[in-house]
Amino acid sequence: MKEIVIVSGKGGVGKTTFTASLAYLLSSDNIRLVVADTDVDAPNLALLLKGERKEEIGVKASEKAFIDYTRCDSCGVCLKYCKENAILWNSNKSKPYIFEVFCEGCGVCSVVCPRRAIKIELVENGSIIVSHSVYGFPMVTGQLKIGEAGSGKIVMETKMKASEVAKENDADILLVDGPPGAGCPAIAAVSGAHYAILITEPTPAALSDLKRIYEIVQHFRAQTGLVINKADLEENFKKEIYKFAEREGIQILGDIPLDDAIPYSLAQGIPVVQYAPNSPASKSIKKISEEILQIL
Amino acid sequence: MNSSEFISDAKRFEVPTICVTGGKGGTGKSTIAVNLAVFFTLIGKRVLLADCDVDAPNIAILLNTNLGSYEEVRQFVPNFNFDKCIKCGKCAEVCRSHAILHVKSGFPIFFKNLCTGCEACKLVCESQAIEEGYKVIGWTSTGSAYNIDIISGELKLKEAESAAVVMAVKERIRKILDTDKYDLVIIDTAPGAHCDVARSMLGADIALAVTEPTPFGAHDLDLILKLAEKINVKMKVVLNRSNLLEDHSFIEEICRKHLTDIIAKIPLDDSILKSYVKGRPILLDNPDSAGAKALIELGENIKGVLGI
Repeated sequence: MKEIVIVSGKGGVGKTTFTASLAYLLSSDNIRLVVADTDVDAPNLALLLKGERKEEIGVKASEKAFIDYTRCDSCGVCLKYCKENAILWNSNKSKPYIFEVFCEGCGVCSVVCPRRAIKIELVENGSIIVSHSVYGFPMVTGQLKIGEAGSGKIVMETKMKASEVAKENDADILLVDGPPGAGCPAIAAVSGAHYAILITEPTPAALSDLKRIYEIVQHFRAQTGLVINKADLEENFKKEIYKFAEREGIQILGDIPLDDAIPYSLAQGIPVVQYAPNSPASKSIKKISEEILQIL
Repeated sequence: MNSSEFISDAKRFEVPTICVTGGKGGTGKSTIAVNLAVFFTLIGKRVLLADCDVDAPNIAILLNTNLGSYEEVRQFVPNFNFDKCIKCGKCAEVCRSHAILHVKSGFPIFFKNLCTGCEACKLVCESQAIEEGYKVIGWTSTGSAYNIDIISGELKLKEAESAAVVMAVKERIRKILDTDKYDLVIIDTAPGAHCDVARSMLGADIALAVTEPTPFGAHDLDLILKLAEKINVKMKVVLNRSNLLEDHSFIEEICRKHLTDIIAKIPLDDSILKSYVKGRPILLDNPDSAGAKALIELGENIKGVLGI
């Protein structure tokens, strides 16, 4: 089984649009596929690959502090040591208060509390949804709870579940739609992948973010290919992207042109290669898909 | 009292603050933040523009300028003094991120990458064997372009504590506001609806959720509006690339559900794209374009809401 991850650095350059189309093409090629959405902050893949929900698993991958107010004597020591600014003073009640959105459960408050009034407990910070896409393959979606921390851990759990499902289904390919950025969640998504598809667009911001995520991909020594989306957005800047790829020895898998078929297909919630198979964008994606199959 | 009420107050800057966010990536957050900064500068306001998307900071790129005055964002790490260590293992016991390993009757083994800098180890060490050390987890920096002053944060690659870098950016804003007079702070956030975004948003007088009329935009808009409710930040919606789809009823429905509305619609406009690549905000590059006009209207509306 080969694991392919799609990452970009910058958000909104087309990760999910591309992943959905690639999944559609691979599965119509009779490849046994499992798809995972690890953009746990804003998972959108299931909006295109729609499916029937089979299972939802709560994930406890975060810890939070809880104050036992029967013990707390309002000394305020905990406030001084919390580096996350997650403990605030409720002046009405003259008591400290844990603002759970900022608490990362490091436990320093419970260590310094002279009354031992603070406990650290595991809390649910996300969930994993296993579904079956209408396109005939299993899909595993990670979702972080709103305002929570620990996206990286949810990404790991999502990937573990997806690998499990892939094994059960004897899958050939596990296709992982990654999160934006180059931080913890992106690192977790790339970790362990055999092949990383970098997707970008010819703009300075996208290139800057691409360089950051490329460094992460290199760290894991994943084989890498580059897709340039909205390729004719800016012909001059496209050359900059090509130069970067050449310098780094990254294989260019292909370009996807700007094409109205893409926004229209998105609005309908259908992968573009199904919605408009003969559109310029779909033709490019098909070529890229064939290229990837050959590489693998 | 609702807890989040006094949290918002505790973190508020002295100066009116706009936060630009949106849930989904690539909807135009930074473009809108930059052009709002230009709008307010052009009407004579002094603007401080902050980039809190520390995972992928792009404000300086959009303004085609270089950043300088780098300051390190440091995080505590323990420095073990084995001459004093009595091998009791208490440090490892309290370390919830498993950065300290203690094998019976041995010295503690430290894994720097896992350390989140909470200092619990140092606090419990009875033999004062843990001294204060640090690691650099990112940087804040400043710059200036088109009469806009910029503060930016950047997380060091392979570091995890992005929240600390966001906090450092907000701290540097506070420092600058202490010594210099500004009329307005504009904060650009990361995509998503996680705690870094909450941290960036907290204390803003108004937050803008930039979205687009697609199922993705709608889905992520719902998430960010839920987050704004949770931390009690007033939020308005900006519908970018509004003519991508004519029917906006599904976006309006989400707005109604969260008791907010669309404050501006920005059409798809090639000149926005051109200015984006050029690194010159459209309000300066092509002020007569449809995109620029819509952005000016957005600026006027916000000016009204904030009463500045």
